[in-house]
Amino acid sequence: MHNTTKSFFILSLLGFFVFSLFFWQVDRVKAERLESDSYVIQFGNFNVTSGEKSSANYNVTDTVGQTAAGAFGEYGTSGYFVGAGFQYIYQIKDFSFIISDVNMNLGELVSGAFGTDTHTLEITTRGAGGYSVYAYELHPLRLQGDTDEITDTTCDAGTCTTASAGIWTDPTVSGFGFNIQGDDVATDFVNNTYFRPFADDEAAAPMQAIMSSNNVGYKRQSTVTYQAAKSGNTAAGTYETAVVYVAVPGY
Amino acid sequence: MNTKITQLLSYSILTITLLCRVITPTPVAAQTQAFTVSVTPDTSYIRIKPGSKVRHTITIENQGALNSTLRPLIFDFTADGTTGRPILVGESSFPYLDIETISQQEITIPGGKRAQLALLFTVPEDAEEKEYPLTVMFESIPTQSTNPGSTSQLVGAIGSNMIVLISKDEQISQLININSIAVPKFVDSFKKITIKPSIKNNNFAATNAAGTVVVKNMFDSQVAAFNIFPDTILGFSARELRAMRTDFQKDIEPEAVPFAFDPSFLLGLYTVEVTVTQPYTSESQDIIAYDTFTFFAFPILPTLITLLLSAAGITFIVKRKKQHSDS
Repeated sequence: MHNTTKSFFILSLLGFFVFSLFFWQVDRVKAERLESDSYVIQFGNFNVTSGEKSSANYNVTDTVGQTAAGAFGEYGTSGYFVGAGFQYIYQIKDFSFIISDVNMNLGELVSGAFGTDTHTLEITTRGAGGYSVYAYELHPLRLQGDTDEITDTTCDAGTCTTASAGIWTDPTVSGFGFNIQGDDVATDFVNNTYFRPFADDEAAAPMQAIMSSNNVGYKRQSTVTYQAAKSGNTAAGTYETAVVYVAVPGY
Repeated sequence: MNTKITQLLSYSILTITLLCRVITPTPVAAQTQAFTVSVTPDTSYIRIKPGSKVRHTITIENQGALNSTLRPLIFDFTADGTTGRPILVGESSFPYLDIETISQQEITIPGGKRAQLALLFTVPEDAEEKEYPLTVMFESIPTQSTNPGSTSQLVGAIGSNMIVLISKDEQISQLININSIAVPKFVDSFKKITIKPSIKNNNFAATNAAGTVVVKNMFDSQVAAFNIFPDTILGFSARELRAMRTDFQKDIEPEAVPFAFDPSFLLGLYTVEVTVTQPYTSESQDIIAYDTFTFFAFPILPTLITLLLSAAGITFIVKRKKQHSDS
């Protein structure tokens, strides 16, 4: 190629690029904003990878590609701690409550024998304020469609109350009550012969704490045992009530 | 013909047998209806400026296998004066939420799934600056019992606390006073010492505890020191302080433990110094409240034994002298 032609070619290319710079606008890359006529999606970040991974030996969750993720500050030194990023979602405290069975069946009550049923309660709390579990009944055990009742127990000695358990081992003493054994239970339930009546909501009795702790707790479990006995002149039929368990986290 | 009939019969029997094996009814195990629910977060602190709207979301998870239907109810609660466990006082009449609409909702969550309750707080410009401790309770609605013999249903309810502060500005309480430092006046030299300081927040807004508890001997030497755990004290309420556990990881929230120490031997006068400082920052050492308490440590059991022996010895000597003088 002649030198002249070569030079002309190079100059033309240069001119073309300069021309392009002046007249072509390069849009900002909006890699984290998707939009159309009917939607706009804005991303805080665009992850490289994230999700739950597991094998026989481990479970892992990860989020890769966040900006400024990590721990800032230090407990006991800086007076603050900030966990920035999606992975710190696991530090947001949840509170869980399990009642293993919501149906209570005391069976057929016969004179001189207790009818019983059991289930468990389980609490998990990650807050340093702890938790409380309260219990109450809507009304005493009442004959369906009638007003006859099996009254709440006062135990063998006639002295147990909604706040203070007493021994109840004599099935000739009629009544309805409960015992609770296990983690964090009220201390008046000395062993499984100590019972309390439930607080009666119909009589505006305040609900009573049956399990509580001041601190973090993982799968704190207890077993509730219901017990009922009838007197000889209790009318035949199906007696029922509802028992409510209220779990409240501490702060 | 016979062969054909035999073959047909054999095939029929084989087919029927195979069909029976395929369609044999298996016993259906009735699933036990349980209450298996979690809520997130357990407690929230929400500050709302008068004249603004704020949305707060609570996530409820049904961790069981069967559907669960819940009704949200909002309760007021108060502090118990000692711990952080709320005392529910009754259904709330909090004015800045549409409580009636909220409590008429029914949230049905399939097994293993989550749902969210969104609460919209609408606060007028002229709202009074005040703190409202609330608990949102999710109460199960009993379903038809799956147990034909059952006579009663159990109802589960789980709460999520919200401490709602209506205020133009962030409130950092300086109105703290130390109610008491519960230590006996006399303690045993060999026994573990437990200190239970209690403080009262005289501001209308919740604050966090901060500061130190230090025990010194009569020579002003430190024998024990604790950082105060940043527990929340609600407005116009009291709470017993707790110590921060010292062996913790820097990015994992530390545990609260009692102020307790177990020295090998104590003797003499000791002073407990409780210093409450400004929360949230380690730079400010502004002391908001300060109090001291003095106790005396001595070996109780050996002292009692010594006293008893001395008394016995003196009695014996006096009697002997009397006998001598009589004789």
